[in-house]
Amino acid sequence: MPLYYFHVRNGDTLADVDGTELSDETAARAHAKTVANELMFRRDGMLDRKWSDLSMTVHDEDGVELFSFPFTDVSEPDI
Amino acid sequence: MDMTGHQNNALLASLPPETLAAMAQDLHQQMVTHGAVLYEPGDKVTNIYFPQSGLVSLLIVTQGGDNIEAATVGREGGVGLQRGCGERRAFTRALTQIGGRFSVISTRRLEHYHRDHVGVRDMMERYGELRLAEAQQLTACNAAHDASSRLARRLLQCADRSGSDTVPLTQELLAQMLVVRRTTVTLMAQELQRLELIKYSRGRITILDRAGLMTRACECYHVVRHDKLAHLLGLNR
Repeated sequence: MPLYYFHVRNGDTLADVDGTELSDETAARAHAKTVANELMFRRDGMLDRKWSDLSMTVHDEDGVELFSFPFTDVSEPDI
Repeated sequence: MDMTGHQNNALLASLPPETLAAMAQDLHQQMVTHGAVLYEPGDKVTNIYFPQSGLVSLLIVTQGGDNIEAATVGREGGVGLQRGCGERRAFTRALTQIGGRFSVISTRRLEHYHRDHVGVRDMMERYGELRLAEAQQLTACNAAHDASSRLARRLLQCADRSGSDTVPLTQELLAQMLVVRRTTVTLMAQELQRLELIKYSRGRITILDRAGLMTRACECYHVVRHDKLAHLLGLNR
């Protein structure tokens, strides 16, 4: 299965160095939403920045960005 | 007989000296390796383990096959002890997360000391109360605290209980302990590393700034330290 990498970005990046094997991009979108929710639970932000300033960016094995979204978008159903 | 090894464990060290001296005939020391399963759920508890170093996780094995950590036991405690005396069965899977040296006594022999020594009864009852309070706190923590604060708490607790500021914990294991995705652990660990609170590479996490990490840990870290907890519960002699 292909590897997907989930990074947190605001200029600066927190890098997902190991990646996760997932079946396809749909699964990667679901995983990204789950991770975002786990990070955001009962917390205002990361690295001293609010969630409104942060986004998640997902890359494939070749480092190509597949999609990204602001954390504050996560409650929307079509991520 | 040399008690020094056994006294590395806080519970054994808390016994009256003459009681520990008597028990020493039945206590032996054993190196236990990472990955060793001390009991599976339902196994008869035949030995009690008092870590001098290393760390044991007590895992709830769910019907879905998750292994969720319910407690960690290191040199502050005992494994199998909370089951008490007599024929008991394990409720959790006791998995050695960090190998170390353990003091070990058979349940059958411990019963003998439990019967004859008030110090042993006191120690076991006291430990039972501490364990219960800790489990209650963990229930609240898992429900109410953010994952990053829980990660900081876990790291500090593992370091305290295993006796080392370098803990050989993989991200997969931390994900299991915290009940989050491994990706989430990676991103939170990256944040702590960026803040120079920890350093991590495959399989090992070193605490660089203990005081800094303590400010990021949830309140549960301070509440469940057994020295503080004993005071809260009115257990101090």
